[in-house]
Amino acid sequence: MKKRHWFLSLAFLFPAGIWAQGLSVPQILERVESNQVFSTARLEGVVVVNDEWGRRETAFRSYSQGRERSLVEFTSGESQGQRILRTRGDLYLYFPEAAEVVRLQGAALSESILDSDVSYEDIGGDKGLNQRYTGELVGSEVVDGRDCWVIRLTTRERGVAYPRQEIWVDKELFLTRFAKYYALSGRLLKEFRVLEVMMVSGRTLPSRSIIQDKLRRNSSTEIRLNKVELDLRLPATTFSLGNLTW
Amino acid sequence: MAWRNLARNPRRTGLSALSVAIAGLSISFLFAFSDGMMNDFRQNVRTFVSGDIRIRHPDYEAHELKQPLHLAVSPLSEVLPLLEGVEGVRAALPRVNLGLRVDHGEKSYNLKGLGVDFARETALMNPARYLHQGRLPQAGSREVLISASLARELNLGVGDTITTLARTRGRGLNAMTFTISGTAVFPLMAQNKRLMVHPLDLTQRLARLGDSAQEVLLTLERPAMAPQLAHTISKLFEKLGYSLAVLPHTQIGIAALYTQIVETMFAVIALVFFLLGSAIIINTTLMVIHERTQEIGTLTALGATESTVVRVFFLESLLISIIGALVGVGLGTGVAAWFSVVGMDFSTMMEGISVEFSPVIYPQITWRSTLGTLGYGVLVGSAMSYFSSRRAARVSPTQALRAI
Repeated sequence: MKKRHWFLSLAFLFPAGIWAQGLSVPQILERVESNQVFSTARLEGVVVVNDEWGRRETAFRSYSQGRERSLVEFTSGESQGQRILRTRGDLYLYFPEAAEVVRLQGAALSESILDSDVSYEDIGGDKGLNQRYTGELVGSEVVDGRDCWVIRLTTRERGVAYPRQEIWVDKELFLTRFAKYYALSGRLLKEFRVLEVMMVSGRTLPSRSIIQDKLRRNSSTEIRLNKVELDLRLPATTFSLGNLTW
Repeated sequence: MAWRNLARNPRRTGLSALSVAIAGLSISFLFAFSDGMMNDFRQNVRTFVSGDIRIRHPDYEAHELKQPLHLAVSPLSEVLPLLEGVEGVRAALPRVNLGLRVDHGEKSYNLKGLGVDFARETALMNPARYLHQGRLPQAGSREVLISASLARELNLGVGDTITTLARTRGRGLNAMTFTISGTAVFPLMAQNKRLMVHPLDLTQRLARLGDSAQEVLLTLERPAMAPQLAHTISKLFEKLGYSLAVLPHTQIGIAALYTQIVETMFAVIALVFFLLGSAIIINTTLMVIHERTQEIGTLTALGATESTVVRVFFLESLLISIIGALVGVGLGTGVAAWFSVVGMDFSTMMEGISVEFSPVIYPQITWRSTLGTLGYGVLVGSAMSYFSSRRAARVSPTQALRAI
């Protein structure tokens, strides 16, 4: 799935024409996205993978600018020093012991990061959901004690990682509380659930969320955000290829 | 009289001898070829899969497809000296097999990486024998030996660099850049398409393996002792508290299964050739005896006893079989000997096939392919002649003379 800037936010769309509490589906999704797309952001957190091999924790630091640019750096564990740069639809990997930067493309984008439930394409993508999906409000449901709209999204274009999605949007916080991601065949691929939220500069962000790749057995990945700074000044070179190897 | 009979009808004698010779030639060559293939197969399995004994983490095999590098033989710095101290062990060879990816131009290549201790490997793989250009990588240096055809495909040569990505022990991803120190032509087709051999220490660093390896292969002073020594080493590990699976090559699932399948396959092919060869000899012998029923009748009419007739025909047939078998086996062995030097190249035929056979097979001349086949030709030819002539000799002269 092509997505947002902070490390791991899966879900949103631009439905059409149906109104909920005076808001159309595109308006709901716009509000959701405004919680997730920042002029600039700096996050620190931990990725916790639980699978058949046990539990692994990797700390990360990420920077983002708008929808198009992000940089993730792993700061602990085996992957310490490795970086993932996304800029204008291209994705590059930097490894401290490799003399060249690796550009990821094609099928390689669907590989998982750190053997977690999150793939590289989950952090890629420049277009907003409304440009890629058509939305339909299918009802309301309570998720984890919160009243949510249930919105079904269907892709408008070819080649997206998740042609169909269902998202549960918190009616008060405009936050995706729960989401299901499907293949074109209707097979459930991934699930995303917010476990805890935090308020930063008047915006609600998931401080703990969990993703499960349904094609993997007994596997889940938790993303914890420990520190969030929004609308800060970032050097112009932060998202440049040259800066990757600093 | 038997000798004289041979010369009386040279065409008939020649035809009989030719049938034995053709059967002898084909069976002799088939045996040499199949023995060569089996030898090649066993050698490749031993070199690249099993050694004489293989040591792994007990859970590795069940998850092998997922490449669980954390299920490793560790710590190598303790395990290797321990193994090399066991009487009967010639060498302990730590290895790491891992999947690699190389992005080159717009294409991605999924390759196979093999981390070995080049110095120790002289005892088994002996990588120097596969060198095509350049030299072997040196321990501690960021060098790699890659298959010559892969180098051609990537348009790389000795001295060029290549960046490879690999999964790590902790299931992450890592990449390193290596300099190609040499290119090699490996014995298996699949290896020639995608094998890269790195120094063990660099592979450990690439895959974040620390002081561990995916497996340790042992070569023994006497390979036949593998089951007993595997048991001894298992007990030793148990005593010292190491949880490791020690398997002799005879019990390594895939190696033992492959060997069994290939042996059965060749046994069936040999049986078919045996039956075909025997059918040719039997058919020719029966025809010849049948054609000579009148002659047998004349002999018995002149007073020859049944045993005299049988003896004459049996001796004649025995001589023909010996001559035919000698010629056939001689020719078959000659052809096999020629190919055992120059090899039979099946590389075009085996393009894209992933099997443990080398694309070039060298037939192997054995007792089975020479003396065994010689005995077989003589036995089948003379035995058939004995039974047929005995039956013909029992026919009364009047019936025999009327039969033609």
